[in-house]
Order: sequence, then structure tokens, then C-alpha cells
Amino acid sequence: MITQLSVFLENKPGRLSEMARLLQEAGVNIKAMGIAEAGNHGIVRMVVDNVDLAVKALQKAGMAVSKVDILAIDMRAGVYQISKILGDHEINIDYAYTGSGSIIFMKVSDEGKAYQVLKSAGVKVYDTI
Amino acid sequence: MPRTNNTVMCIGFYSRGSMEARILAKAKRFRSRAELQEHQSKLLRRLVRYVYDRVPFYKKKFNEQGLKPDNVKSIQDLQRTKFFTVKDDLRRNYPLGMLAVPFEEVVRVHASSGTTGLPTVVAYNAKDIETWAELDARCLLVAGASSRDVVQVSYGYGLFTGGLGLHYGAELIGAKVIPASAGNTQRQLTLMRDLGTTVLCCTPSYALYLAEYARDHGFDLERDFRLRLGIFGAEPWSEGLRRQVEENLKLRAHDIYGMSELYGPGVAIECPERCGLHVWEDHFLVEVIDPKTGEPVEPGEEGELVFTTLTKEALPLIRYRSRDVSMLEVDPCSCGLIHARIMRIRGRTDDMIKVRGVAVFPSQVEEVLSRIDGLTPNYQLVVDRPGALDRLLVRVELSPRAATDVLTRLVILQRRVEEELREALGVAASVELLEPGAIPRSEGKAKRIVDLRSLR
Repeated sequence: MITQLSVFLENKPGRLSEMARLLQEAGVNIKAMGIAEAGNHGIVRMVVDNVDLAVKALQKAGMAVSKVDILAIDMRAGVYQISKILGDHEINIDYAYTGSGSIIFMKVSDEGKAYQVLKSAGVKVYDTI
Repeated sequence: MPRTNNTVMCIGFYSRGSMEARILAKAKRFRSRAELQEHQSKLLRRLVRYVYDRVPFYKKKFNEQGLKPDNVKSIQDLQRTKFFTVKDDLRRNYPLGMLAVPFEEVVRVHASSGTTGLPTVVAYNAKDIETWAELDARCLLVAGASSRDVVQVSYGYGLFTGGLGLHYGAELIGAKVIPASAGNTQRQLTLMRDLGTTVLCCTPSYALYLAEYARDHGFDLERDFRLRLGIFGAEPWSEGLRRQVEENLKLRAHDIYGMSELYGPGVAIECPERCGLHVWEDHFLVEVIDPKTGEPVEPGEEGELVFTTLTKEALPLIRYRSRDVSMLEVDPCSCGLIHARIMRIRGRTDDMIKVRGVAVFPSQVEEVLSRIDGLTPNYQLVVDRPGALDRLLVRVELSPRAATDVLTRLVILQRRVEEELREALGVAASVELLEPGAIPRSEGKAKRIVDLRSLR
């Protein structure tokens, strides 16, 4: 499993660039990213190459940032196959997004179980990216 | 010469201690409320004659009301009339038309910020400055400060009365005073740490900002500071904000009350019981009135505080309408002081905003926000009128601790705040969650209200 950062941002021009600037200046690369919005605010979810450095830089600037474990799955197994395996095991997909390459990042209701069932069905799940 | 030094030290210590005792004894010299009220009536009779003879504005007012100074025996005689002094009277007599002493006798002026037009100028003679210092000394002592304290005064110095008022009071009790004034937060914290400040005087919103700044700039709130007491005032604040400031700065926070028209800070203070602020009734006669009718409210009811200055010489005021909304408690306090207590100021009649006809105070909003996990007490009320109806928007910063990857949690939080606000205010408000630090910080009084209706 890998760590996702979730950053609370106001839904207005310039906020994402402010966050990205802080990461760039800290020497952190964003590997994958998705944005979810609700009215005046939203959450940026992302996978970065240096979690500790990123958290430090964002918190120093006063930003609200949290960490959570997610799955990084090889999408070449097929989105249908992956989601069917999870569905058959009563595992819910809360959200998903893709980055460069053929990896799909998923937040599911039971990461441990999902990891096991995907592995045993021969789907590649990454431990690092 | 060690012997001389010793002697000096002993004398110094002795006289400081006795000064504290003397100031407290004066505050406690009345044995009953009846005795205190008798004293007030005596001072009031003298005051009425004094202003009638010396202030044309008051002479005219008495004549208009058909009141002869000699017929005013107690405050009830004034309550039968619509005799009030309002801020506009001071403005209309700008700068010092209501002075009761020759200008030559004045030793100090202060002025309150004129957000609308001219500033309000107030003046003091030497005796006033002395009285004011004693009132603030009383406040500090009653709150628990002593000559051993290092008092950092972070209210603004200058035309605003906050800085110099607390400064003179702290000096009078023999404390060590750091006249830091407002602003330059880095330097404030450095001095606070290096000089071992034990008592901090500033606005509650600035106290919170100091804590926030300290945390973000490498200070250790647990180890770097020796703060034990906070004297916070000049703006209405809630119990929730008190808890936050106390937790963050590791001190005990006391509310202080005053305004430049009544010397400045030092009119009332919370004793260690902290259930209301004792008004120094040997210097101020306080009433609570219905702001609409001008009639005194029933005991224990909320209304506008009205003050008569019993001892001011240069610029005495009779039944001055403070525009602060609170209620008065005259039952004995377990601290032993018999002075009446004004309960926490709910807001100002002019801080109050009317939203669709309902009166809303920022302090009510603050109380709601401060009891909900995941929010900070940094907030702003925005009112506008897009169509025919007023719209209230409450913007509040999310606490960094509330960060989450689940959007639903934020939406639920937002709805919960909206529901609780509607419950507390009696009018619907929409809520915007802001990033931590989004609302501009203030070094003096926090700006809580943005009323876009008045811009049109």
C-alpha cells in the first residue's frame, strides 16, 4: 500500500498553484493527483515521491493536510476485472484516479482485504511507486 | 555598599506591598450595597451641580428637561427623564466642547478611532490620570497580578487608551512593565520569552494570534514562556475563545472592560471567580436600559449599559450610552467584592447586525464555532442583499487537525455548523470553510463583520 496526501483547499483560482508551488520549492514531485470539490472548498488528493518532505512543507505554510493508505493497482488487468473482483468481495471503492503510466489509485473500504484478493487473482498491486 | 542596598531593597519591598494593600482596601471599603449606593448618590449630587455650572451642554440639557440640579437626589430622579449623553454629543462638540475644566488644566488627550467621520476626543486632568491608574491597578490586583509580575502591555499605545491605561496601572502596583504596544509579533514573542513575561495584556484575538504565530515560528509554547495571567479586552469574546487562548498560551484569562469615554480600560474586571466583571461603582454609576425605549430594564434583564462617571473631572459624563449589551448582577460574589458585575459583554449595539430583522452578534457566532471540533475561532460574518432578502454568510477557518481525504466529512461539518447557527441565531446562515490562515489577522480589534449592504 502507498500513502496518499489529502490537502484542504478553497475552491478558487490560485489555491492549487499555491500548493504546487510549495511542493516544487520543497523539491517534491507529484506522481498522481485528483481533485474533489464541494461548494467553496475541495480536497486535493495526491501521491508524491517524498511524503515526509511534502507534509512538512505544506504544514509549515499552515495548510490542512492528512495522510491515508490507498492501493496502487496495475490498470492493465482491466478496470472491469479489478472492480468486479472487489465488488464480488463486497469491497467498496470510495474514489479512484489515475496518474502517469498505467496505475490506478484506489481508496477502498478495506485496503488489507482488497490487497489480498487482487493479489490472489493475479492483479499486480504496487507497494511503492 | 551592601548595607545601603539592603535598606533600599527593604523599603522598596515594604512600600510596594503596602501600595497593593492600600489600593485593594479602597476597592473593598464599602461594607454593604446600601453604603455604596449612598456614596454614589452623594457623588452624583456633587457631579450634577459640577456639570451644570461648568458644561454649557449639560446646563442646556438640564434646562430643557426642566430639571434643577438641586432636585437630583439620586439616579432615579434622572431615570424619570430621557436624560442621556450619547457618542454623537461628543462628536457634535468636537473636539472638546464638553470640557468641564479650563483647557490649561488638561494634561492628556486620547481619541477613539473615527470609523465614521470625526474621531471622539477625550481629555484628562492630572487627577483623572491618577484615578485611571488606580482603577487599572485595582483590575490587575483583583485579577491576581502583583508587584512581582512582568507585565507585557501589547495593547496599542497612542491615541487608543488600551496601552497607556494598563501601563499606568501596572506601574502603580510596582510590576515590571514591558510597553510592547501592538504589532511586531516576532519581537513581542522574543521579549516575552527572554524577559519572562508573566502577565499579558492585549485583545483576545491578538492573544490567539500570538499563540498561532509562536507555534509556526519555532517557539515552544510549553517551555519558552512563563505566562500565567492574561488581561484581555477591548472587544467582545466568548468562553470558547477563552478556552482556546488559555490552552494555547498556558495562562488564566481575565476579561477587562472599559472605553475611552470612561477613562479607558479599567472600568470593570473579572475577579478569580470569573462570573461577571466587577464594575468599580465608587467611580461609575451603571444602569441597564432598553436601547429602544430608554427605560431601565427589570433587574437581571439584558440591555444597553449606561454609565455615569462619578469622579472624572475634565470630561465627566452623565448617563453615557455605551452601546454595549449585557446584564447586571448585584448579588454578592464569592470573591468578597460587593461591586455589581456586568455579565460577559454580548456585543455592541453597533456591532449587532440585523439579518432579515433578527439581531445577530458576532459573539453568538463565536460561541457556536468554538464548541464544534475541527474549526478555529477565526471567522467573519458577511452580510449582503442579493435580491430583496438579507443573506448571512459565516466564513470560518478549518483547523489543520481536521484535514481529511473524505469530502463528505467536510460537507457534514459544514451542514452541522449551519444547523447550529440557525438554532443559536434564529436566522439561517450559510457557512464557508476556509483554509487555515485565510482570514487576515489583526493586531488590535478583530474585524468580524463585513456588511456589503451599506456599500450600495
